[in-house]
Amino acid sequence: MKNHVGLLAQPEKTMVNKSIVILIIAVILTSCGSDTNKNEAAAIDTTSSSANSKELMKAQQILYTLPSPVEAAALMKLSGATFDLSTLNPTANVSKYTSNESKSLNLGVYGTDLVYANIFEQTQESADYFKCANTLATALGINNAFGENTFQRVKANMQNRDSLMAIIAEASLEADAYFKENERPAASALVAVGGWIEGLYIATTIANKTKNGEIIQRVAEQKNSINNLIGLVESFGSEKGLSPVLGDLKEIKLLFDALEVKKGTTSKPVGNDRTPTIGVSKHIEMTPEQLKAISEKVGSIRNKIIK
Amino acid sequence: MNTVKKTVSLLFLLSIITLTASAQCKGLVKKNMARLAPFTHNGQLNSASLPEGGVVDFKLTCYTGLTYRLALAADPVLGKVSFRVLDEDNNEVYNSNDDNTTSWDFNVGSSQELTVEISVPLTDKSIRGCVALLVGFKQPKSVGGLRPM
Repeated sequence: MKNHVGLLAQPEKTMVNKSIVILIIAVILTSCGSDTNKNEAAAIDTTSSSANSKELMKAQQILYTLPSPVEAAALMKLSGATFDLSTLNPTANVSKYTSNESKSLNLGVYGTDLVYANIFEQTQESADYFKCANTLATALGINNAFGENTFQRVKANMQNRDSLMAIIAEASLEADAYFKENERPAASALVAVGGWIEGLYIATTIANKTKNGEIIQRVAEQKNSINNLIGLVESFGSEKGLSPVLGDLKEIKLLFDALEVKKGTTSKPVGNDRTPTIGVSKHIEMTPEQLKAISEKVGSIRNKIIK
Repeated sequence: MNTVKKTVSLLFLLSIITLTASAQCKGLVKKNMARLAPFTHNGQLNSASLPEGGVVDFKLTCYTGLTYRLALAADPVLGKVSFRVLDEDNNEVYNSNDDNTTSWDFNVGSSQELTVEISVPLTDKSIRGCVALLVGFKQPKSVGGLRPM
């Protein structure tokens, strides 16, 4: 039986005995978390004071997974976008980032730029953006992710876009794991935020330039991601560097909240048995004015990150 | 004073457990990465350390136009770990207990948030181990698929 009754954060539950507190700490501290992650709510059964320790360990965690930059770039290409170097963070900016917070955020930004350059087959730009990611990762102490070995593999595979994409995904995993193993999950969250903001900035810029309906819809679909991103950042409470970022994300969320969702019917899995199509059918409406407002807000936050 | 010593010792012990668990989770993900082929891994360490009877929900946004693969990896000590997928209206759209597999491929009719719930079975033993959700995606061949190395 999986019990989820009161939330641990409720003040009236402060009188629980020491053994329960220790068990709760154990549950929280030993959770690996996802990119994303950490416990948003660890709900446990507090109704039975005679519950033994085994019962109390049945905590439910909620972890957040964000769309990766690789996924976002693939979607943009799928929607008919073309490469525009002027939308990316100039590589010369890399020396500007001195605090750990700005390094983490811009590791995410450059990571996204690297993926965009690669997916649109820009060989030289891919190498340049890899160097930027390498510089910031090294400064943050992550040597395995974007280090010399990875750089050699990147150089050897520069003409092979698919291999390069797999190397980038592997490097991202190493970086993500490094922050978690070294008890710096907030840095991992900042990388994710930087990457997401850069991806949205690129998408809104291209959407405004091209008026491509499919790309505009991709921007609108970020309404689905913003809640996960905020959930992720909030799960780290007041850790350094996260409060201003959280405020910015909530401003973006307000604009996405105004978008109208037209829902269809909930589907049972359909299609052939090997690859069914699932989920709720829906369309997110976004007017040109709403696109403009989101673009301006995202542009201003992105400029604050990269300055 | 005794209490302080005990607390410090406990925190030290917990920090060791945390580091070990995290490293084990990364190892588990890397070991199972090949199961995503020919999909591209999303580059994220989606994992949690769970006890017997433990449950973790992963919130995951999926986009129309891409095909996804979810692969479950779990420490063998946990026994038969299962997962189910819920759409954003909380309808169950997949349950691994129905077909006894640990990976599943799907498309979404429209972009949306899914919940992947991973459950460790209850046992009489006191156990803890890592569970990981590997997420991969691929584009339709018409626009150039992404292949792993």
